[in-house]
Amino acid sequence: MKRFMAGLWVCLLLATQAQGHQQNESLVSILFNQRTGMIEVAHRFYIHDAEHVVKRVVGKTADLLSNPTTQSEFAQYVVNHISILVDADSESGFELLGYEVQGKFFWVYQEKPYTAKPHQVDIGYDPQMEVWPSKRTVVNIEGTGGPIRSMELTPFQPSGSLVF
Amino acid sequence: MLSVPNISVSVLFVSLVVGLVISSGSRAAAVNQTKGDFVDKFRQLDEILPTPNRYRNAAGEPGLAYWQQQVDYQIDVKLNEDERSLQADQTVTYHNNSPYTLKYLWLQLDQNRFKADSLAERSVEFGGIGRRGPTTVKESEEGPAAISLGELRRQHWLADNEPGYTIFSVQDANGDALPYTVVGSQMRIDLPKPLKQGEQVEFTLQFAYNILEENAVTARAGYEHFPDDKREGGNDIFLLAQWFPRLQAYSDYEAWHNKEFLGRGEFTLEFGNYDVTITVPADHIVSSTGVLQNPTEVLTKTQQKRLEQAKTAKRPVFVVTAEEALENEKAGTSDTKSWTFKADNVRDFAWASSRKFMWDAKGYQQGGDVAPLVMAMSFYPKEGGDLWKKYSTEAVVHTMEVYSRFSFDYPYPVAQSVNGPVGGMEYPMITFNGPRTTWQEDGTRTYTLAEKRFLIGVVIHEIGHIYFPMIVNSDERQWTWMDEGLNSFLDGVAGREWDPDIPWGVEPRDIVDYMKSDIQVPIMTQSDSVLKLGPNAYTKPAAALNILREVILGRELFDFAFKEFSERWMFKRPTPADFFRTMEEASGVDLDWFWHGWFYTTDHVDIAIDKVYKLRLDTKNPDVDYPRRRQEVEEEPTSLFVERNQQEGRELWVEKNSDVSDFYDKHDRFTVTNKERNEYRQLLADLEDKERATLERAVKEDKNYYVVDFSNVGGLVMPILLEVTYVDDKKELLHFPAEIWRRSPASVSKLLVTDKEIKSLLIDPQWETADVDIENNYYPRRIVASRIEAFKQEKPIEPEYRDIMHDSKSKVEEPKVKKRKK
Repeated sequence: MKRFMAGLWVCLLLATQAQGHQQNESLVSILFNQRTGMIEVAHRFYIHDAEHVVKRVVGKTADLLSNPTTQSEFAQYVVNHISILVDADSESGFELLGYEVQGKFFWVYQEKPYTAKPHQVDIGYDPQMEVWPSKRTVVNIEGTGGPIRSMELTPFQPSGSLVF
Repeated sequence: MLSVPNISVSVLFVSLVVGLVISSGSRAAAVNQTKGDFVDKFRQLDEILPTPNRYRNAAGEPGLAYWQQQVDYQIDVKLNEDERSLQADQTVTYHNNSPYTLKYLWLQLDQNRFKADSLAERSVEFGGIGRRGPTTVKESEEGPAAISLGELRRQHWLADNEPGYTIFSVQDANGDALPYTVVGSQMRIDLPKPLKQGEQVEFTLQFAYNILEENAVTARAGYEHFPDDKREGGNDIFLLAQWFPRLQAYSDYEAWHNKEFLGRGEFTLEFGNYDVTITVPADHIVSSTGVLQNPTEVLTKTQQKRLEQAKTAKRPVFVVTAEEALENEKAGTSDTKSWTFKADNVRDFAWASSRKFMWDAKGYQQGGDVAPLVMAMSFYPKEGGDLWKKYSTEAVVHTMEVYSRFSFDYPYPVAQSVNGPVGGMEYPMITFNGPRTTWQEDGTRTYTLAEKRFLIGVVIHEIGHIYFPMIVNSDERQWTWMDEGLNSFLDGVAGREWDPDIPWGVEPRDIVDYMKSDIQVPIMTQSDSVLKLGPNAYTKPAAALNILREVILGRELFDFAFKEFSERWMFKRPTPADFFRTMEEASGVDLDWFWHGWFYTTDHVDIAIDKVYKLRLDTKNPDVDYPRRRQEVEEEPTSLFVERNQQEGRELWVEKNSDVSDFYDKHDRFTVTNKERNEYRQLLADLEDKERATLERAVKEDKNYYVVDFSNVGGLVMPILLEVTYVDDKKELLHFPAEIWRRSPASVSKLLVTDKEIKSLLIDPQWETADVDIENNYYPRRIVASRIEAFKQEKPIEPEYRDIMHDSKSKVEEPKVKKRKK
């Protein structure tokens, strides 16, 4: 019999509201940019989703849209909750470049250099999942020399690997 | 300068090959392309769609023999606030309008979906994709199995309470018990005698159930507790939906819709008339489907007077003010009041009740004969605050103004928006919407611009659902996209007409990342099987309809066809085939390729310009063509070998021996002789007059001929929107219809004949088609900065995202002066 360890997610439960409207989903675009030699990671959140998360994570008075400190804290929260390992990497090593609000989306950007085409990418990702249980994230990996590869990460499946 | 190769065209005469056009021979599903790799992207949908019949015809409209059932309900329901339970007696009259005889009736018992032994609960995998709600995670290399506090709370609630219906009795009109069988969240009632066409049967049903705590269980209705209210023990808001046993739909295309409620696929029901009496604590305010029948019994004279004033008010009038609601929520009562509502021709019935509600109303003077006056109303607690006071009811009115233009006059006398624990849900005449203000430590309530946008957006969306699917009665349990996709398209239209500066709706670019991913399913996938419901059932179909309207059909044709669909299926039950056929039949445009590509496949749009060839017409006149060829050669780069010889000062033999020369030193290879001239003259003489005139005109005009090679990388055929920029920087937009791909779906070439030389080409300059790769849209190729490259180049400032409401409370502070020393 396998060991049983009930790891409790220590989190407050956000009112997981039933929706007749769209359940918004976030996107992570991982681009191996041959032109710049950088792995570019862009996280896209619907602003309304992100704002609710900010209030749970950073504090009730936090304001994602007007307060640069909150924006910075949220961006830091996002990158703290993602692990992208390429081939033999032992740690992510991505630099947080910045963040911006654009239209209905909040974007967070990371990058780091790379030298060779990847053979495998391992991703562990759970921003918002603690506080937004129905959250789903699509990860698109581009620029590997082949077709775009994708994986979907959910609270039930917060990590995954793609071999190229 | 456009770098395209110059290629001479030596063939002047276009010979028309008059041959037999061989049909691709589509013959139902048995047709297979077993040789080569040709894919017919234009194969007609008749092979997939159900065969037209007397109930649904080939035009996509209700057929001559169209029928649908009718179910009328009379319900007396009592809310037990302390126990948070409902108890009700309901009388059902079932009208069998079908041509078939029914021996039994099926009902939906949606509350049973929360029982421990339900199909929905038992089929949820630990750590798997399934139920909407809290989280569990499987053990993996990343760590041990995990269960969230949310999931624990849900389990605790379900363990401490008994969800699901208690059915006390099911009786016929004579009071005799009817046999019934409960199958999960469904119930079969066996009729005492078969119900023939045109007959009706009446039965009564007594039931009760414990109301779910919405925030603990995650449902589409339930109660929300407010422990901080001044009333001892706090207060609740009750939202009641999917609350009574409802007759399953019985249709021409599926008979009984026996699809168990799993939590995601919503529902479809029969239209009918409702007479519902709701007994609640006397200090509660009730919002409900239908029209209040006894206002004098449940409302004060002041409230009645305010309601009357609201009918012609420019801005919402408070029937129950914020102050009155705040006072009301401080105490309770053991008295009760019974509110009676009647609703005709609705497919469901929902209601809400709380002593916390303030209530505002405004008459929407719609005009027309159907419902000249519609009362738009909102019900919300203090937590809704100014956000709701200002925008909820106004958004309700705005929605009706826009949606009616695209469909039909709003046919009901009321349209309501209610705040509670549900983020957004729709029912006939009533919607539940979740956005609220945020309490600040200084005691005030503020909201961000994002929350304001979300409230307006969600009210528009949910009120829009009263049109689709509450009136145009599509089947959400089978095809979520039919109401969510159509409604998301229209809420984008309504949103942009509210304030175009707000980033509303679905732009084609918003769906690009989903469409290029490799984990999608076709839109035409059953609701409970869709892997990613948001992009699949909302964004992608909305983007597709947006593209259909703006790019393919144009607004006039699209709007006419969409309105035709809405009017045809108002108070009726359309299927996807009815939508596809109506849009095609009413617009007069063959759209089978569009429905097939966007709704039945997972192809994406990616059209590339591969090459551009510049051509020039040969005149056949040697005195024109030979000098041109000489010039072309002279314009070619010189040989590097020769160039380096020159640099090294190599003296050529011909230079050193200039005294040795012959005819060819004076006449190059492009020298024209009479031999060529005679051939040209003979050629002209041999031409017929029409041919000669054609040649002379073409030579005289001397236009520029370009052949552009396009490839369809994504697989989804679409029109090619080509922006041509000429050497004088003037632009022209060319539109090549999707049919260009009909016989060559992977690559096509197009001839452009222009007066001016072309400088550059660009596909889809305004990003209207959801093309996933912009870089290959340019010719010559242009480097398109990645999102991060662009971000590094500029830091945008977006002042509309400041929460000025909050910031404006900042006090003026003296700047801190730094001490400075040399």
